[in-house]
Amino acid sequence: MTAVSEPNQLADLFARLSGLVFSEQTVQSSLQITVNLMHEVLPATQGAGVTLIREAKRLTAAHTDEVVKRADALQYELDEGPCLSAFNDGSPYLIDSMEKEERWPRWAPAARGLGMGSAISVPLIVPDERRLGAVKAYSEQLAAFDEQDVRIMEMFAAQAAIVLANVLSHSDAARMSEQLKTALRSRHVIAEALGVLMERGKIGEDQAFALLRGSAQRNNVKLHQAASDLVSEVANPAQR
Amino acid sequence: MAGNPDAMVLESGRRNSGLTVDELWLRYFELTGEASLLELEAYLQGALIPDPLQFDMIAHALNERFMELGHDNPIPYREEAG
Repeated sequence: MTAVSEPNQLADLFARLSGLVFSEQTVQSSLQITVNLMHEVLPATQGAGVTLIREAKRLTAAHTDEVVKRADALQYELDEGPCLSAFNDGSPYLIDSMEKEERWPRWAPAARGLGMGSAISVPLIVPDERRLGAVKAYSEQLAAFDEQDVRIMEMFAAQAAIVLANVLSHSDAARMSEQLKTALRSRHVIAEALGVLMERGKIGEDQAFALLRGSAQRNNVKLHQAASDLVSEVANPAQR
Repeated sequence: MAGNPDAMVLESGRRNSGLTVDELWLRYFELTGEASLLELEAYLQGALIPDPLQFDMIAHALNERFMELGHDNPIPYREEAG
C-alpha cells in the first residue's frame, strides 16, 4: 500500500472530520471488497483485481485469484498491458479476444497462456482527475464482456478511487471510529446494489440510483436497507 | 450563491435538517456520493453546481434525515424514481 501513502488534499479535508480516518488496513479490505463485488455483480467475471501505480512503482493491491496476480506481474515485467494503458490514457479498455488482441503483442498471448479469454481494464481516477491505477476483470471465455460491463466497472473503479483518495497513511485501524466503519460498509452495500441494478436493467448509475431510491421510498426504509435487501435477494434467490 | 436555486434548496434543507456540513457529508458519502467535503461545501454555497446524480444523493441524504425527524417536506429529486 505504499503507492498511496502520501497524504493528499482530500486526506487533509478528511482529517477535519475529527477522528474519522481510513487506515491502510481499511483501504486494503475495502479494495478487496471492491474486487469481490465486481466478481459477484458481473456474472462473466472469473477474476478481478486492482493495480496501484505511482511513478515507476506498480502493485497489485487486491486480487481474487492467482491468474490475475500473474497476468498483472506480466504487465509490469513486459511494461505493456491494458491496465497500464488504462492508467496512461485514463480510458477504459475492452479486450474481446486475447487471441486476436494486437495492442499488447507480448502481453496478450502470455495472458491467453494463463487462461484469460477476454478482459476489461478501467482507470482508477479520483474526482480531482488524479490517476491512481486501474481495476480489471477477466473471463476464460472470449467476448464475455460488453460496453455495459465497462460502465459497471467504471462505477466500481470510481468507488474504489474515492476510498483510496481519502487515505491517510500510517493511521492506526483502532483510531477509526465505528461511525466511519459503518458508513463504509453501507457505502459498499449500496454500490453493490447499484451494480446489480445497472447489470439487470442495462442502465446507468443515475437511473440505478433512482430505482433504488424508489424502492426505498415505497417500502418506507432507508436506501441502505433497500440495498441490503436487494443484495441478499440476489445472493439467496431461493429464500424469496 | 445569490440566485443559485440548487444551492439554496440544498443549504436551506441542511439548515432544516439540523445536520452540520460534516455530518451531511458522511451521510452523502454513505450513499456513494463522490464529492469531497470541500466540494460539498461549495455546492451548498453555490460556488459549484452538482451534477444531477450528486444532487439527488445530497437530497436523499437530507430526505432520510427528514424521515428520521418526521418532517414531511422532502427535497424534490432530479431523476424520476423508478
